[in-house]
Amino acid sequence: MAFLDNPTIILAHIRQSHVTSDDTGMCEMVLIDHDVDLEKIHPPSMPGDSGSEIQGSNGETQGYVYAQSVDITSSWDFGIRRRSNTAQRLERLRKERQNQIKCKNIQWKERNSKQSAQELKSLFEKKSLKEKPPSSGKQSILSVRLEQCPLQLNNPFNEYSKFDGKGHIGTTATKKIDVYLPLHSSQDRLLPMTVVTMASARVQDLIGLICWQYTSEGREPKLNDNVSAYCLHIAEDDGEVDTDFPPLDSNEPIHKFGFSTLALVEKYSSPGLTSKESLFVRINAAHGFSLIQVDNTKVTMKEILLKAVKRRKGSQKISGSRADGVFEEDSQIDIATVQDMLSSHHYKSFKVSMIHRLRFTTDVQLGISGDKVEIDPVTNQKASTKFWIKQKPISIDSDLLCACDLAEEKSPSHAIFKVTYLSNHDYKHLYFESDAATVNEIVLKVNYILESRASTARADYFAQKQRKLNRRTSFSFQKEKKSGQQ
Amino acid sequence: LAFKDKLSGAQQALSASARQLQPAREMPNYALQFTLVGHTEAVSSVKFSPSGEWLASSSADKLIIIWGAYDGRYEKTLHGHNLEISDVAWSSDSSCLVSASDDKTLKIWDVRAGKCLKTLRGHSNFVFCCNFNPPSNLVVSGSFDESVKIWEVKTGTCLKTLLAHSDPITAVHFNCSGSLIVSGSYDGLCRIWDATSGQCLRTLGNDENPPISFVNFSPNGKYILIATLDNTLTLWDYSRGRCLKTYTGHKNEKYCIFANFSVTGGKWIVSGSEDNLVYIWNLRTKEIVQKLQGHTDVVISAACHPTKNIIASAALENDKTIKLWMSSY
Repeated sequence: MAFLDNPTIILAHIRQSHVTSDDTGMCEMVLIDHDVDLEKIHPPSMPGDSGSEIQGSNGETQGYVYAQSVDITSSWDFGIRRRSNTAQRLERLRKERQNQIKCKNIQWKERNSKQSAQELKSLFEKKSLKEKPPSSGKQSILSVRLEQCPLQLNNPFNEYSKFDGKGHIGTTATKKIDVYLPLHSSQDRLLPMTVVTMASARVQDLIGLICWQYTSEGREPKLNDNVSAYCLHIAEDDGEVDTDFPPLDSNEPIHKFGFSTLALVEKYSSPGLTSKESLFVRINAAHGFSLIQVDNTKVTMKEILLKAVKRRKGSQKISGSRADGVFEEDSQIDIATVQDMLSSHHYKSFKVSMIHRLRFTTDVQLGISGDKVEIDPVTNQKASTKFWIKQKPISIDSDLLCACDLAEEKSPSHAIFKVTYLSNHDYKHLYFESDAATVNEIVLKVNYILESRASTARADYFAQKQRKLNRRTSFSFQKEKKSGQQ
Repeated sequence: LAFKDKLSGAQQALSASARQLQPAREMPNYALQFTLVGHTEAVSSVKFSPSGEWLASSSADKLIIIWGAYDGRYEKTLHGHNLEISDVAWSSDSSCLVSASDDKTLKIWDVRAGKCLKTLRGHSNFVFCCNFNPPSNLVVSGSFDESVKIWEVKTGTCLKTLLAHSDPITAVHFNCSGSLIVSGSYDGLCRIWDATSGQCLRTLGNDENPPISFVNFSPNGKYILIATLDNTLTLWDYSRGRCLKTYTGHKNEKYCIFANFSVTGGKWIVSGSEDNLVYIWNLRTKEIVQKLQGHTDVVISAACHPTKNIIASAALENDKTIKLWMSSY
């Protein structure tokens, strides 16, 4: 009977269980064939012991280690047969022989033949390195061309040159168009410039190509660098621009149109209020954000940094973190920004003039607070003359505010800004004027409010503006009319 | 001026001894002995070597200068950092220094050779404070990235990073046995950590407290000295979490000024101040016993010599000098 207080019996039992239950035969190989652990504990006993003991029964014998059960047969015929020593040795010899073949053994032989000093010198001759004269060959055609065409390099419209179809006539679809140019002198107006363009070009690309050809031909006066300042109009064969029709839509491909004569005209900019979007750079600082107004997107980071630092009121002398006493500095730095931010939501009223459609202005009191914008008319003595402009007080909730931009800054005493708001699913614009300082203050204040509120009306407004830019207006109606005439 | 001070001090001492026959004097008589000029920007920290022979000073001019402690003689300069250095500390055998710099690294220097042995990289913001442990096989550093890092000196690798605080860490210090680390931060908390496991054992203070600008273990390891940016120094028994003493009278609202225990003669607390003076308090009675005048800018660091009654003080960029003061007791 097996006694469970005997550790060897328990161990043996566990080992046998592993061996019997393991289908792969790995346990058998490890535990029975080559058991390192047991060999350490019990030195290999006499072979007489093995095979005589039955597992599970009297566990007092030492030679239990090698007890084999009749049931368990060593299955090492099936598994991977370990290579015998001889085979390994033969393999090693074979490898060595192969390596030897790769090595060529050379016996060092002393040099018998004496060679004269002359012969030795001839073996490794000194090569004379003369100074090569600078190549005075013909100048390459490339450098000739480069010298001759400085204008080509400086053509601001080079990106549109790829639409030039002059070399592709016959091979690819091209269109030949006579373009009358916006020349101020009346003499050359008679002669159009012939432009061959790839049919895949859009109207915008054609304008660019025209400008490129104009510049590369060296025509005067120089064109405006901005391609979008021009548009194409339909023209008569004699050069007269047909101003009844609107200009060709920039995004339409040129092969849609059948015109052979067009005119390049500078875009008509309305003398009215040009909406210039005031650009704000949002700088996130430790205690919030501050808005810095910039003129255009081309401003450099250095300028923004200077403006931001100036905002922080006081120059920062960096003298190491310990010598700076940073903690105090930090809280002082952002006071200006924090003040701006906090005060932006406070109610503040401004006296400005509201500009109406007919260019009349009325004095109003503009009250801006975090919640709403109120416009109250200020009655003045001359109210009688402007009675047809009934000024009702307007109150705009801040959630409906979409944008507030500086429209124009004519002088320090005269600036115009525009407020856009949502009213009954429609975007309304209001124009106000005042002196530049007040206008800037108002614009900044409203923008702070807008930034911190992040209303949906504002998001929608910008989304719609983006869509408008991308939208194509179909020109098919005009094309039909023209082809009908032909 | 220095001579006169010495005389009056000596007179005071005589009268004091006449009255009471006690070996410990009530007041020290520190007097200016040397002014060490050499740094070209604000000095950030001064430390005496444990052997007492040298004084190391770090500065915003990216250099560490070693001076003789007894004569103030210039010894050598250690360069290597790319940005201003905020702290420097000696190893126990006085052969190595560790420096903490705004270039986000710490450097371990061999003082004799004057060379940088290792650069410890890992912090993501200015490293503000550093210290060796007594066996000098570890370096602890605190940084503006709100973490405390423990580094192994031999390999230069970071062994542990403790996300210790929620604000820049202004001081880290090992206790005399090297088993504990104390860290203080702008968030108003002082934490004690187990050096081997990195576990936080205790937190003193809460985040309504004023920012802590400096912490230090006392030489016997029983107390912690905490300096806060409300012109106060407090002495705590950290095992009980009780504040024992408070020292005021100086000005400290902006800078992380070092403070120290002076135990060579009388038992004092020494600290710099933003009113350009070095303040010395009686540890027991909390009274100001001396104010050392001479600097022309905020005294950012004050160190006490390990064996002699010498105090070294350093000031910021208007001054740029280090002054050595000596006392009879």
